[in-house]
This record gives sequence, structure tokens and C-alpha cells, in this order.
Amino acid sequence: MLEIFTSPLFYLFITIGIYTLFAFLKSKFKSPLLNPLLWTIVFMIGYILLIVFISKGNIEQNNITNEVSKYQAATSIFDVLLAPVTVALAVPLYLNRNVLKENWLPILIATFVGTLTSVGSVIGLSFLLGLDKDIMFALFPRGVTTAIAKEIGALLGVSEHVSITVTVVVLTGVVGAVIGPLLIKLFGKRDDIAIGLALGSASHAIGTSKSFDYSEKAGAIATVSIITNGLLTVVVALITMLIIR
Amino acid sequence: MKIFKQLTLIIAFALFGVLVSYLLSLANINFPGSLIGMILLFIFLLFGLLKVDSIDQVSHFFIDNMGIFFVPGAILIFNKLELLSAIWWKLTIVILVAFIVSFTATYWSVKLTLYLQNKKKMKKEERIDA
Repeated sequence: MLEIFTSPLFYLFITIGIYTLFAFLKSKFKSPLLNPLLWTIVFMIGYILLIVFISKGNIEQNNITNEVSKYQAATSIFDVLLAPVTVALAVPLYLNRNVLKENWLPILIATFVGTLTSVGSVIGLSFLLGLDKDIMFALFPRGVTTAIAKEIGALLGVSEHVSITVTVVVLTGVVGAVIGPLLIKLFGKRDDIAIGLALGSASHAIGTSKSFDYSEKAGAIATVSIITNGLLTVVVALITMLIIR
Repeated sequence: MKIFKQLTLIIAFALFGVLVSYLLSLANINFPGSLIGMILLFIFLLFGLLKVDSIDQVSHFFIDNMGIFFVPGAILIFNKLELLSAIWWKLTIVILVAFIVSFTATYWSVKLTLYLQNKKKMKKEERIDA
């Protein structure tokens, strides 16, 4: 009986089901806190713990690890498709090419300032808080869209911490979508170009979805900055590796 | 049929990127293949070598539902629970402070850029008027 609920097909079903449920709730309540990826992970952690506990009577690490690899195998199609998903980011960039052309200077400035302050604050804070170098590298792409962040983690040799990178990136997006609008209010007279670029550079796609609330223009320019910011962070990561080596 | 055609094209670009990435790695340049694929696709679209209609449906599906593709990677957080219970508050500080710093810096640097751009434009117009 229990096999049905731990079969690959059931794992795939429950993953897509929970994700879709939260995607629906998020669009209904328009709250970034209902991020589907975040809640799918939280739910699956609970589910796998429950399954291990029911079937083994304990929650020992090796039993969990075993079940997690079964889960990963069941959902591996998503991991395999990650490269084409990243490639598809070219489409929104292409569709917003006029925004890129008309605002290239503010975009360029925002990309440099956004990337350097992001990487700079991660390095500074990691030293202050006494975080390991590996964790610091895993946090390096904190503001970059997840697909590119994953690649940066690999470049920096911290693929083993990919789950930390993904979690921090998603939480950064959620925090950005919540705090960003408060900061914008605090900053006074609003400017859609600055809003779009700040949200896109500092909190990638999740922040960008918030920028569309201000205007189409803020959203479009944020979309462009996600990609320019991601690419510059890759370059900064490559330079960092060269220096370290 | 149509979906598979679009999917095949996008996967082809991803593999194209991996191939170029491999060739670059021979010259000791390490650049992620998926990002090279993205840049190549952008160039193909920009120069009209590929129509956006031939990949738009699958691309939009991917982008609208991007989060789910990270589930297999993110679930590995299971192996980090011990580490996280020790450093979660540090990570929280990094998430909050780094966001506020980079958001504020980006916002005001763009404001300044736009202000200077406007001033330059106005000066130009003044000169024309004079």
C-alpha cells in the first residue's frame, strides 16, 4: 500500500500538484510569500519525513538520504531540462530589446552597481559573521536568477551547496518583493526605471514580478536587468576564480 | 507536434551552448554552456535567423513555471539541515542586508544617471534655442 505513495509517478504527481496549487494561490492572493518553489520544498520535506517515519519507524539520516534519492530520480526530468529552461531566458530579453536599446546607460550602471554591491556585501558580511569560504561562495549569486545562480555555484566549485544557493536566491527574491516596495515608498518620488532596475538587479525574477505592479515599463526593464546582472555576476565569479588560483 | 518541435529547437540551442562551452574550455575559458546557449539564441533571434514564433510557446511555459525546475536541486537541503540549524541566522542577515544595500545603491545610482542624462539633454536644447 505504502509503495503507491512513494512511487516515482506519485512523487511526480505530488510535486507538480503542490507547485500548481501554490502558483494558483499566489496569483489569487497576489502575495510573494506564496512562492510555489519555496512551499513545494517545505511540503516535500514534511512529506518525505512522514514517509520515512511511517515505513521505518524512525527518521535516521541514511533512511532520509535514501528516500531523497528516490525522490530526485522521480523528478530528474526537471533537472535535465534546466539547461533549456535557462536558454529560454533569451526570449524575454529579445522581446524587450527596444527597452534595452533605449535605456542602455541606466541598465549598464544598474548592472555594475547592483552586481558589485551584491557581491561586495556578501563578501563583507561573510567575513563579519565568520562564514566559511564555501558558504560565502554559495551566497555569491544571491541576487541572480536561480538558473544562472546555479551555474555560478558550479563555477565557484560549490555545487555541493546548490540547495543553499537555491534557497537563499529564492528567499532573496521573496524578501525583495516584500521589502522593495517599502523602500520605494521611503525613497519618495517614484521613478519607474529606477524601480525596475533596482528590483530586477537586487531580487531577480521574484522582485521583477512585483515591478509589473508599478508599470509595464518597470517590469520590462527589470526583466532585462535580470539577465544583464546574471551575466556580469558570472564574469565577476570567473575573475574571482582567476584571482584565487 | 508543435510543442515537440519547439522543445527540440530549444534543447538544440542548449546543446549548442554546451558544445561551444567545451571548445572554450580547451582554451582554458570556463563559461557555462546554458548561458552560451542563451546568448546564441538571443543572437539568432536578433539577426532574424530564427523566428520567435518557432519557440515562443515552450519558452513561455518554461519561464512562467521556472521554479519547479529547481525542485530536485533544492530538495538536497535535506543534507544541510544540521549546517543550517547552526548558520540560519547568519544567512538571514546576509539575505536582508545584502538586499537592502544592493537595492538602495542600484536605485540611487540609476536616479543619478537619469538626472545627469536629463541635465545634458536640457543643456543641448538650451544651446539650440540660443
